[in-house]
Amino acid sequence: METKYILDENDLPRQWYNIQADLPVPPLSPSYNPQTKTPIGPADLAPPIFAKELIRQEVSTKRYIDIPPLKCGTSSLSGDHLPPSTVPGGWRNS
Amino acid sequence: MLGGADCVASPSSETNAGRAMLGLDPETSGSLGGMAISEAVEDAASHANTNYTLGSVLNHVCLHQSVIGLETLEQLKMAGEETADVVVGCAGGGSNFAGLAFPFMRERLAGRMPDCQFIATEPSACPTLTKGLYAYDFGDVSGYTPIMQMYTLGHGFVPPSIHAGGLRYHGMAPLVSLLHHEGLVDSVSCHQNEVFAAAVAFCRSEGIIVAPESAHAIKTVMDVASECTRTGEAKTIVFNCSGHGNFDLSSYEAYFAGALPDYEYPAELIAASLKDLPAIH
Ligand SMILES: Cc1ncc(COP(=O)(O)O)c(C=O)c1O
Repeated sequence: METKYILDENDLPRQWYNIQADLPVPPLSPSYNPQTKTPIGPADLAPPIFAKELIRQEVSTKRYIDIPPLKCGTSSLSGDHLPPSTVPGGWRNS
Repeated sequence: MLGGADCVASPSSETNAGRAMLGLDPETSGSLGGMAISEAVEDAASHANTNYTLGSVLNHVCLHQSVIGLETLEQLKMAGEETADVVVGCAGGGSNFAGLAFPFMRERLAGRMPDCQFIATEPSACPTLTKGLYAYDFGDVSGYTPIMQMYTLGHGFVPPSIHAGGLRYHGMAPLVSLLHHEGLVDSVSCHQNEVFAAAVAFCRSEGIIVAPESAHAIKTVMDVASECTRTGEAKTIVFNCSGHGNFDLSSYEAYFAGALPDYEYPAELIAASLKDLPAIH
């Protein structure tokens, strides 16, 4: 019996799926500024803390968002068969 | 360290947040969200050349992790399965669960998998979804992060030192929280000894050593499968193995030595920390 199903590299997703487009009770409630306790928009999340593109993704309600091409790959230091799932966040931040 | 990075344990004496926490309790065991996030945010905010990459909780992290579920849907097709009946993941801040579950939730909400059930498994020692409040709270102990509507045990809650360190977070991704609140996601909690027992059974049958966090999902999968055996129902159960356990062998050793405590639900600590929720109207 076949027990292992490995996707070909060409079949890997090219777009992320954003469930914010499909919420049963949209939209997600706003977050609030920790000091002023007022609703925050993208501007409040701005650098210096998060990278700009991540903030756009954070508030997007588009159903699909293109996965950008890998700029700089590394071998796997941890021995995982695939790079860990946090890597896209890492290089997208750079 | 191996890669040439400097690595410090949290709470550290390198940040105001870390020093404040050590001042309150020099022996503190720290916590993933509560303390480590405060320190990281402070460091990012105070260095022009530094940004912070959060590994969980936020919407964009759930977005990135959606590749897990998107690929799993494809792999299920290769295996000749049209639908899943049960989708299981462990939940710390909610990102690997979201990554696996949301593409399946897309199918459920579109009516293509109307009966698909979703189960998030968490430690009984840090029972955010099963025992927490759906409320507004900070994502970190020092109150640096935005205040989010989510399930929370209170941002000051320091979970007992279970070995699944990645599940020791007081809050939960707002997107996972919303779907749980709407009844689309179910949750269960497990004690660490039963979780390690499931991981050992999995290793002996599949030859894979899983992370203690992922072992929570496996415990639930085994429970669902046992129930199927009992009822005679056939179900397609999908779960995510969020990490390997190659770095967790000392935890397995402690389990085999009978040295792992099962922490009772820390009701008083949680009640105390829930008193400090920020007021949002
Ligand atoms: C292997 C593993 N699984 C799961 C988690 C929990 O995180 P999340 O709930 O965001 O997937 C962690 C967190 O560190 C982890 O290391």
